Amino acid sequence: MKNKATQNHSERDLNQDITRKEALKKAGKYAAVTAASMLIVLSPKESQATSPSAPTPWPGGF
Amino acid sequence: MNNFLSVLGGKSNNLLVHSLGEKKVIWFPEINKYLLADSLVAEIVTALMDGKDDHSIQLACCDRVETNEEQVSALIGEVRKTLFSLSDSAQNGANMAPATLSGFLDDKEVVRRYYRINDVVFFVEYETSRASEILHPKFSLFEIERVDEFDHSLKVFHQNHTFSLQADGREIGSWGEADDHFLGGKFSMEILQQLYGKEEHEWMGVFHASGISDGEKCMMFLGDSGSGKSTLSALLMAGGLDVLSDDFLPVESKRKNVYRFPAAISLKKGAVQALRSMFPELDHSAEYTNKEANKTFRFLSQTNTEPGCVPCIALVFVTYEPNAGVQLSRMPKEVAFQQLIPDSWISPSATNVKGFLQWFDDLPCWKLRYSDNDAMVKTVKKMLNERG
Repeated sequence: MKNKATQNHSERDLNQDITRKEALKKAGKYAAVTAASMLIVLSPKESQATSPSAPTPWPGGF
Repeated sequence: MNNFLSVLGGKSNNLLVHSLGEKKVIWFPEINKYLLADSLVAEIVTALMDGKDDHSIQLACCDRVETNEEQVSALIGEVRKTLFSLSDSAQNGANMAPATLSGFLDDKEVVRRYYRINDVVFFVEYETSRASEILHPKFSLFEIERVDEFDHSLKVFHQNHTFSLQADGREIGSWGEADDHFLGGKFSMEILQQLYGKEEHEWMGVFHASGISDGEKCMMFLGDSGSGKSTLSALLMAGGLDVLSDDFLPVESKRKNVYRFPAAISLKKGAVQALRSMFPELDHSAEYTNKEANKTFRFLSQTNTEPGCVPCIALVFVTYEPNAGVQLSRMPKEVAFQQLIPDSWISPSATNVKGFLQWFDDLPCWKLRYSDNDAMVKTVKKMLNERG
């Protein structure tokens, strides 16, 4: 009886493992579908640029 | 219904699609924008651009991935919304037209300077002292006495809070005072083109980066302002490496070589203190201040200002982080791409964009955090040795 219970438990574990794998597989596919946030728009600079600086002379300097 | 189609360039075969790892990059030529998406989303974009109806797109998607029509329908809706917003931004993103100016308002205020850069003589007229202060410091080491003959003339107008640039009589552009970094960019671009005899379309891009070379190859160091990029350039120069450019790094389109741009390195006060012992000339160099940011700057000349170019072997995204020592790690391409594009000018022709995407795809991307200067210099030298 005990042996049978253990066997049933193992089968259940096995079934759960398969189900889990399938779930992960499905999740992966769904992840692709629900990944609308992975649509990123990138704008390059419209023109060549340098670092913004706008320095003005130090008093008594240059 | 699909009124974004014409704004975005009509059919999908007008777009440029490039695989980047597991992602796709789509370039829209009409509006010069890039879209980074996973492959399913990219397929929906191209299908919508081809005018396919939602039902056929749904069928194709459900066939490809295990999902239901509702989810796909929601996704198509989101993609369509993005395409609409892209077409709107294209219509609203008009540049300021170059101003047609007859002359300087007050000739007495005009600052006139001559520069000899690699045997090319430039005569530059700055309408105001402010225009001169923005552009001159990085080129001051090339200033020469007045000469009767020069190769090129540049005029920087400053009227009604607007800067305008003319090069050899051609109107190049106009920018508001807050956009003086674009004035600096175009001014540098004009000088670059004359130094190397190459027109704008012959450059693949100009990057907000430092180019560090061992004489045969280089690595490109990128980072936001304040990330320690200029300090890193100076430290590497002190360590015997060659700085090709510190802020404005051009890449030519045919061979994809990185070219030297010999403008001086701009260093903030803290960096000047740290670098004084390595570069005693900093003690005697002029100090400038940005009153708005309450920061002072000094300018350090590159050791080598001779014209030249080398291939790039890696992109390195750098940050100074206290207590980091030196930490180097690979950076996923899509993350690097997201950081690179908004800070770069990529020549907006299909040939150049195609070349750029392939060039980027071929280059390894690294993230470098550092606080230990000596260890950082050693790491960079080792990287140049190993990747070459």
